[in-house]
Amino acid sequence: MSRSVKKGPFIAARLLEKIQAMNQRGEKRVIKTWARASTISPEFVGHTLAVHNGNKFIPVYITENMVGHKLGEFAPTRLFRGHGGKLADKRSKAK
Amino acid sequence: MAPGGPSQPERLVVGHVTKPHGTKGEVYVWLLTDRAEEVFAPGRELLLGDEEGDAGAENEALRVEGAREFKRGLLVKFAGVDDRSAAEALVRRYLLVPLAELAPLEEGEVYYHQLLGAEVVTTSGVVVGRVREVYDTEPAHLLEVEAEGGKLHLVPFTERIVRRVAAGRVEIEPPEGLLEL
Repeated sequence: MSRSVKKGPFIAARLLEKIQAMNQRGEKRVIKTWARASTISPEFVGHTLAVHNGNKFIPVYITENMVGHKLGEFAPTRLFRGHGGKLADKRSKAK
Repeated sequence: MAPGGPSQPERLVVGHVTKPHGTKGEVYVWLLTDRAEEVFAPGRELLLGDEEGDAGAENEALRVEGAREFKRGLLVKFAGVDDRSAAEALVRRYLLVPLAELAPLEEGEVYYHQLLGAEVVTTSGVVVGRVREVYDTEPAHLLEVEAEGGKLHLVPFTERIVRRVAAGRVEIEPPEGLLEL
């Protein structure tokens, strides 16, 4: 069952406070969080959050199109070594 | 961002034949390309590499007859591979394509192999380490950087953090705390 609309999205309060404080100071510092269930709020955009994946912290740079999703969606619990160390035709582009 | 790397390989690996599928000669291919539709289009010729990923001296080629999606890879039927025994002979071998036949890199794009082993330095000139692995994650790839003491750092491959990639060197502007994780 989905969360009641009346309550609004769940946003980890402590995390939101820290980010709002950083926004006021115009600061960009990586914040560690275990709140994988927290929804990404517009205030988070432009910050890098270190989201725990059960083993280590995965740095996640928050962009506009991630707003409304949960933090945990962007910190996979298994990191897959896909290319096999070969000269694969796999490409990467910084967005 | 300009692609780096002093020398370009002649061929790139596009897939790994993992197992035969069914009795009609199809094989399951684990994809090692971002352009599977183009690379495994019917009629396309692929070079058959060895189990190490190197192209053999014979330049053995296989022509794609058909391909269809299956789980996280493709089921591919090659011309002349018509039964399971013939398909089994391809297992564990890599498929390659000459670099010149692949679609050129888009602006800002780099191949994984251009990143692997690259030296990572901050914009202020501090050496962070070398790229050990590239993780295919959403929304941005992650670079695993190994520092001299063996400590591993994860760096999101985003424009705001990775400022320049050129000639085996990745220049980053990490936010405060990223390299302390």
